[in-house]
Amino acid sequence: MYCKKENFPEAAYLPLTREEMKSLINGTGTPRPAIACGHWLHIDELSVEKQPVIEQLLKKYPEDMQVFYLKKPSLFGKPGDTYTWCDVPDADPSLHRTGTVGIDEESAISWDVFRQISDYVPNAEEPTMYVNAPKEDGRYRMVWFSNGPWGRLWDYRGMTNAMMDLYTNPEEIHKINRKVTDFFKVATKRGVEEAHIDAIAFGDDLGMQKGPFMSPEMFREFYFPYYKEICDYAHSLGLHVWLHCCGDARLLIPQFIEAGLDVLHPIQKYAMDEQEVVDTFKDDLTFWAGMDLQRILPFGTVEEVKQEARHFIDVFHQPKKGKMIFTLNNRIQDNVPLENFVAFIEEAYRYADEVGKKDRGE
Amino acid sequence: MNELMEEIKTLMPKGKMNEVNALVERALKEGVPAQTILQEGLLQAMDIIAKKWADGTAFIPEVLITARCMNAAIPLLEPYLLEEKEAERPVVVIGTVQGDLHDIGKNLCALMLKAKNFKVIDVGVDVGADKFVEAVREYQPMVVCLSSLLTTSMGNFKVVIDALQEAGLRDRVKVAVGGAPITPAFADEVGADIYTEDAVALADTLLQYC
Repeated sequence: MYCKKENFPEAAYLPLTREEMKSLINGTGTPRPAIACGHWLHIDELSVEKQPVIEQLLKKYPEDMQVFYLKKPSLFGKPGDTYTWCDVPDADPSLHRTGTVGIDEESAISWDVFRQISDYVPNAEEPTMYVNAPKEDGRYRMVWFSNGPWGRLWDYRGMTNAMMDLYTNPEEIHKINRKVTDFFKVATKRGVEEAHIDAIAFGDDLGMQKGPFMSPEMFREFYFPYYKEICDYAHSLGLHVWLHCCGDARLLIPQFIEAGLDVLHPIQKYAMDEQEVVDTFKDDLTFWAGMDLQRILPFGTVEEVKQEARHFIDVFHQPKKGKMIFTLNNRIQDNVPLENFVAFIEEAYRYADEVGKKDRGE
Repeated sequence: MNELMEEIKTLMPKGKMNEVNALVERALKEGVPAQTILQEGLLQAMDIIAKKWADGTAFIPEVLITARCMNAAIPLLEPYLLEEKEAERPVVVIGTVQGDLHDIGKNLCALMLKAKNFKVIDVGVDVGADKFVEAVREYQPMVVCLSSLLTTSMGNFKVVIDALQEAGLRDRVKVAVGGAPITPAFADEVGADIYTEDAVALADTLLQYC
């Protein structure tokens, strides 16, 4: 049970092994609820005084899997770049132009510019694609591909245009989806061969605070076939598929399941009722359930944070099955007080261990 | 006339911009008043889709594509619309506060307000307090609407409100705030006058102030 101590000398709780995580996701049992926050924790974006404390905390509380980024093709390459989503010289290089998050139509490219993009970028044979893969240490390994087909459309066109394009430029959207899907499939195969991955993950924000951006009918027409193709291919190689989708996507979750997605993140509190989602979909999905970053972590008290951590584990963990990995509901921001983050991590691990022991009758 | 208006309302949610424009031009040629085409055709179509969105039977792409038709058709009517009518329209200034580049929520609010015949001055995204103050001074709006999706930027609502106070403009304008993480309690805390959960509710609420 659990990973080898020698790989995690300072760990208060040893991480789950690769096989234990697979079993948890497949719903065939787990020693305890899993915890994996690292992907949503970009320490370099936090205040300098927080960084060493969190680095030390993560040595004591190592997450239950290894998550790493595929080397991302650039959004806009310089002329001659092959590892880019857009190699057109007059494309607007200001997209994602500041440190703040957001995609708007001011920085979108026109379809005329899009049509000039080479068919051969991004080059899926890029030799350094898996340069970020860490050394194996016994944990489950997931590679993060960044944006899925819907997010890629945003990147090119901005959100407002993207949603109108669903009506006005359907053929171009299918071209983007085909390009993303083909790239993902090659990257998936290479991930197995070069990095011994157990899962692929991508993000497509399809939900708003209330309801999805698009109708279920529109999702089925534009995105379901590509999601299914990605899932079918990953499954043929023995991998799981994880999806990050912000907001309230309840109307689309049945299609996520039908397409074959294995794990969904984050079940956003205040956008969806977590208990209702679990009650409805617990047999068909595993949840990478995310601690709230809209209210509780940034603005709650330490006691409220601890209470919420226990509540999430109680709601999502299924005794004898598993199917819950605890995390943050998005990238942590610097407005989260350090004491709240520390309380969250300490309580999540303590309570997950307690729940695991209770499941085993200890 | 009614048939033309009905056809406009049927085609707009399908995004049939050229066909809608042709119908608007035909209606004008047939002597239908521009104000009637605007009110009973274009704005009613927006109102219908907004209500469907609010009750979950339509989605953002349909709202935006309807608005796209409306925005394309209005310039055809403008030469015919009386100038004094234009002056009577209540003005709203809207923008996403500094530190946040998200624009979809703000854009939806702007669309819903336009559909209720407000004159909307959109000052964009990542907008500093000084720019909001400048816009309030220049356009003298009834309401200034502040949007934020990020919890890290929503504190800038108060910065804008304080700047309006300092500029001596706070008493002359209502302040509305909104965005995914915003709650009524937070709106109270920063001293906003109006909070609504979504764009349709914002437009309906602001009508009460006219």
